[in-house]
Amino acid sequence: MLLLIMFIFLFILIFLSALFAVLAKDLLFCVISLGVMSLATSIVFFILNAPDVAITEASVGAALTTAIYVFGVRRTEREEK
Amino acid sequence: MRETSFNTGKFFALIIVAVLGIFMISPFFDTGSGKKISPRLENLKDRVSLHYGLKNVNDASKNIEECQGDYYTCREGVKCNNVIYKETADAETGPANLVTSIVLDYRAFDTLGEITVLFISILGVALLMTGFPALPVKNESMIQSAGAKFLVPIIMLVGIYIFLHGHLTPGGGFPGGAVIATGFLLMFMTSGDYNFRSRRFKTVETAAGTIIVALAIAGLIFKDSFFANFLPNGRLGDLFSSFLIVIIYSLIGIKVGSELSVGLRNLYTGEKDD
Repeated sequence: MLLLIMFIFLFILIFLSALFAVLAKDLLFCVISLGVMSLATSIVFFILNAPDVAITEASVGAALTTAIYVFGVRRTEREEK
Repeated sequence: MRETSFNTGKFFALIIVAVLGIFMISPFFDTGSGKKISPRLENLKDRVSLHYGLKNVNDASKNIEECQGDYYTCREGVKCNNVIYKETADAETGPANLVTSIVLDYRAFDTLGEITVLFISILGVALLMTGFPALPVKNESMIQSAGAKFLVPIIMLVGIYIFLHGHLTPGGGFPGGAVIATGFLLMFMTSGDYNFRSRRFKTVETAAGTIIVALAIAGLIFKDSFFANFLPNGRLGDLFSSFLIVIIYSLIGIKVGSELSVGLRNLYTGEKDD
């Protein structure tokens, strides 16, 4: 039961952060919310007994991809037109 | 750009996100009467992954029939060739972590393809990012740079642990290399005067990739197939076991770490030959 509640919380977090990444005007906020989504996804992978995938998702999805997007935002414009 | 209140692209994006959300929520309301994946896979004996789980693919069919469906426990009188942690020596594949034994033993050619994909993408970054101006660190604070200098050795140590211990615990070359690259990223993002020589990193990366392919061809020479495990496997679960897997995983970790560090630095400062 606790696991189910945690799952539902994580799914809602993933859903809301993905929605925020689509809707937000400030692109830096979008990038950070995508990082939050990757972190929540890695926790889901860990609960589903896939720790290898969870480590890869946390290091690549939450750290490196966020950094690459932040570099892209710095080289272009921050506000969405 | 003309201003519109109704954005078509965002509308379709919302629809796609809503469909994905319904797809994610739907398993909670599953009544159990859904369609099975394939009728062939209902019988557990037919699944190939079970043979991987028993770690004796060569004669797995005989042993499963002898075990009478009791796959994981050995009973008296029934000779099951099961793999027991810390007891089995010289199994078909060395690592105690099953994912590693699939990724780097049974499917090692796939991993070579992944390394090639990463190499080509970093090469594309290096080709495209020439001539861009450097982006200096704004408002560099002392707490930030000092904290990064404290954290970076720990991050490097965790990365090295992840790829050196990949045959026993979850992890491996790719996550370990990514963690090491994160350490370098933190270093050159927080302190503006930090700079590393990317030519040395490229040399290390090229050497690691060459040694991986050389070991694969050595497997072709000493055993019968490409990436064959020609070194002794040792006892399952020991730190010093499955030597070829440890060597190849360390090489992959070094290669991926240096590659991603150089690629991120190119994205940050532009390609500079120093």
